[in-house]
Amino acid sequence: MNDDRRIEEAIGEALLEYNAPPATPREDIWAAMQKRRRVVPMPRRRPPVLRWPAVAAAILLLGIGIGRISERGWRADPSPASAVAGIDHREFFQAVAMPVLGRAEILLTGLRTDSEVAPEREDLLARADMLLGDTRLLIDSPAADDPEMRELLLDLELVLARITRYAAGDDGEAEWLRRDLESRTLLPRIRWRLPAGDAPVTL
Amino acid sequence: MDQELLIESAAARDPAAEKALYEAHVERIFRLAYRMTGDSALAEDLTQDTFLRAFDRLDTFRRESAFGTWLHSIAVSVILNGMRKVRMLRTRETSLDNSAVAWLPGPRQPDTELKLTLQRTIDALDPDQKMVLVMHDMEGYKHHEIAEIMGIRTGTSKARLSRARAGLRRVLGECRTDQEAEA
Repeated sequence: MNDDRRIEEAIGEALLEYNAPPATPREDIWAAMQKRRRVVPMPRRRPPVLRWPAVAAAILLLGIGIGRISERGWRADPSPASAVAGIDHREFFQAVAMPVLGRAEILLTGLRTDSEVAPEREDLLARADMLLGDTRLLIDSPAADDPEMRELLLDLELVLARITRYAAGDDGEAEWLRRDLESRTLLPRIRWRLPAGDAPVTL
Repeated sequence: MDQELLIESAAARDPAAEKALYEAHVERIFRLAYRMTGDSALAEDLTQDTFLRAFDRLDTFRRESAFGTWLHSIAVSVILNGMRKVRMLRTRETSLDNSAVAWLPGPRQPDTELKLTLQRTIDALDPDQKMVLVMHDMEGYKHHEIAEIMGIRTGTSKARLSRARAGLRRVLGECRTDQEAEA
């Protein structure tokens, strides 16, 4: 019985000491939030009725793209209507993701080169910001129904957010970004998703 | 200002209302993030993500639960997701830490050994169990609050806590037995 009590006491002590939080850095967190909002404004979530037409328009545009680029494996009829009608809708959204992943691959590969010359921040910010928006759109679409694709898109979103913050002048992100680029398996996972042998697809 | 009015104003992007909501809740969210991660920078990031996401989605807040509960449910999701994302990196760092500790000379006090063992056991808990343990035993949330925040039944919250504590007891018991054998 005494042993039990001693064990409970020891557990209680350990729990109190476990990751004991420091004082909350209220102002630092608030300031960082404001900075992030200025750099990457969080898009207001629009009601689906407004969002889906935008996605549908993107699909139709992509239908044209797929008709043109997908001689291997996709349907031969290049018209957008038949492309939309003839393909399973989740499969279609997965295809929507390919140009975004292609652009991500180019961006991340460029950042991982051994060049000692830092990329132009303004250009980097523009490219990463646009990709971030597309990635978030995909996360909210049926393309992310596939758990692996969803995980890939979420990881990509995190890295792109870091890139935009770094490119916007937040040097504090540099170390995290370097770790992300070095330690994550993001790039191989993106390449694995891209159709073999194709050049990165852009619209 | 009345909480309802604050939420409405914050949903309309009133900075003062957002700041007031932030001030009212940031302490608990940061503490939770820090207890779960043990990393100040990461806890700050996760706290930021929680509030940014909440402010972004305020128009979807249906008032079926208290604002604090809704905010905490976002925090739990952000924290668990964030921990999953950094787990790979953390595992590498932990193994480096352990190897460094292993070759450092000098005996360690049994109590220190016990505490380290317990900390590692908590670190290694299933994240959902750890979340319940942290919320209930360290931060003082009630089971019905945890259940509402995590979207689980009260019984599930109790079961997760019970499993987490049982794991700690077992490890501690084994440690004591080893120490007694050595003595």
